[in-house]
Amino acid sequence: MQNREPHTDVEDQPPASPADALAIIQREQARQEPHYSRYFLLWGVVWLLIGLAWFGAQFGYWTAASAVVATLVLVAVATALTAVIGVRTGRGIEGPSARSGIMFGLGWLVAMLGTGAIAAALSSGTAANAFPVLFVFVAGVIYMAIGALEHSRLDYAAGIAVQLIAVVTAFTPAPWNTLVMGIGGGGALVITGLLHRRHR
Amino acid sequence: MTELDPVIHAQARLRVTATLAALPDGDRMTFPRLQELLEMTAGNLSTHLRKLEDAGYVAITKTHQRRTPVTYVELTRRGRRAFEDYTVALRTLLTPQPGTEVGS
Repeated sequence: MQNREPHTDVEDQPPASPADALAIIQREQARQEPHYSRYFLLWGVVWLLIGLAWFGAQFGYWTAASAVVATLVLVAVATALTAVIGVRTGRGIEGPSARSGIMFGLGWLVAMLGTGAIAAALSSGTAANAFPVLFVFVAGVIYMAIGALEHSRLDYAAGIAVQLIAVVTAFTPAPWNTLVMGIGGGGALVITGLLHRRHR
Repeated sequence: MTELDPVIHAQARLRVTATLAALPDGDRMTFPRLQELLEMTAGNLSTHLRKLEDAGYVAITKTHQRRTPVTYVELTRRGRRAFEDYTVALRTLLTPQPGTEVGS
């Protein structure tokens, strides 16, 4: 349909053939498919530039401080662009998929902040042997992602709780860290399981 | 002969239905977004939406978001099924029936 001028009389006509009708359906639905390629291209370029920034710093082309600044600026700009793309893609649409998108987007932020906190704890020396929290943390991120994709607030909350427990464990001195991880992590999953049962 | 649903089998309404059917179940779209995607005038879109609504294929919800009126459009369960039946009917029509092959 080249002419997009509104002509109710024309648009009220049936498609010329079944093949035309199918082509109309395919064209309209293709128009709505999310452009995931944009996210990959954007973050691919950012990743590449960050790598080159640090490589250059190690060779003494510029200082490590410059690489830190470049990394922060690139991540901040890419995060803002990602948010803009996400909001533009989902504009005018309301319902479970919009909520899922917001949960997924916020999930990235939570997971990245948690990673930063655990990295700080592990490099501080006081909790240098607390690397098992990484397994707990990754489990939490996976629960959270499943919660976002499956529109399950319970799984999402459980994922955040498990990540939080991993962070708290990383900052807790031995031998209490193992207790925090055991009771906190195990407790969070048992509570989630019981709540799932109640909601069935 | 497979009958094609006359409510959907009109170019504009087919475009509206196909667009709404691409939304995941439970999602709905604002009127302006639908209008923008379809590049139709508000009057034209309203006319076709009314026909789809009369058939029970589309649900239109008027609400407010921070005092701004918003109109949401979504396919009803019946509309979604009608669209599925319509696409099945189209594919049936496009599949060569045994015995109706044209000899070369």
